[in-house]
Amino acid sequence: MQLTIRQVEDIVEFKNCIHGLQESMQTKDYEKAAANVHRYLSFDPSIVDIVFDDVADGVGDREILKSTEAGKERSKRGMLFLFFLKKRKLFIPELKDIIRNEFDVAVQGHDDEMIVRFFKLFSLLKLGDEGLTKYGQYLTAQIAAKCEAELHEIRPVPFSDSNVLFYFKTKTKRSFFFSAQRQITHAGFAVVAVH
Amino acid sequence: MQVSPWSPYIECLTHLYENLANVIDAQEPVVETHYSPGQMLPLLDILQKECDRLSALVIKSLNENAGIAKKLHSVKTYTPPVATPSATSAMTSLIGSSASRAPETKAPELDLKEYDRLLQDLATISQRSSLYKRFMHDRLSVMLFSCKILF
Repeated sequence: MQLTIRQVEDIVEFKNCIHGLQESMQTKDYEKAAANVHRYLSFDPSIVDIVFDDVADGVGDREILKSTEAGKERSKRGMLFLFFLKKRKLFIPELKDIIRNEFDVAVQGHDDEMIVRFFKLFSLLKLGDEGLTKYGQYLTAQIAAKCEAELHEIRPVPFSDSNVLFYFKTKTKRSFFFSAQRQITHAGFAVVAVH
Repeated sequence: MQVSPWSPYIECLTHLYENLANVIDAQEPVVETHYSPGQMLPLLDILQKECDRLSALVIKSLNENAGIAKKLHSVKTYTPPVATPSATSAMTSLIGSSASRAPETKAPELDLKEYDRLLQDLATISQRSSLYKRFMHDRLSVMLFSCKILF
């Protein structure tokens, strides 16, 4: 009994989820669309089958259903729902492509906020590995650009006693900063180790 | 305190380590919230590979500009004079012989200040790298520890 109720709830939620996906794709609300896809992907496959059968029955028996008002209504809804299901199949790869493209555009435009926004969506679409790789590449590209620029600026100077006081100021400041950061990490580690 | 012409390389390497440490600090909560807790490890793998590549680049550049290979070679081939001329004359007067000394071959002079400075810089690079290694080690220990609790 409980199982049946749960299954019915799941079916209703599944339908809502597909409608939500349809709506959010139209309004280009990618967060919502991705959340809906995430929910859709986490459903039990048997529920997906039940919904499909249900819709197929509704459409298949429309000759009988047409005889009553309620039947007509059901048939109409069924047709509409089947249409959404077909569209939905297109939505998932489409959404994946959109997110990939938007991420690449954000990387090219150095738009950090958008990069983080689309990076979060990768995990919802079960593209976690791809998301991490792309994000990792973006982070490493940033670090590499900084490091290579700094290395490029270095001009080789021959050793002599007179040129030695030139770099002193920034060096100590940086060292202190790094040490302070290390202290914080150590504190965090101690807390985890104790508890 | 003196700063040598090789200090920019140390700075560059330190900035690299700092940048990486900052990125790891900043990204860890983001990844662990939106992905699963263990997912920071693949990202660290990517970052560490880049760190290896860039630090090798910096050290290679330092190696070339400081002429470390050449310096090593000159240190290896350097033969210090056995005794100073004054010491030798004292020795001969003590012994009382008038044996003629072998003609002195003049070895190229080494600038010890430069070598000392270079050694200090190499030690600093080693210290910074070790600090970064400890940072990564601590981070990974914490991550593995929390993964063990969760799974």
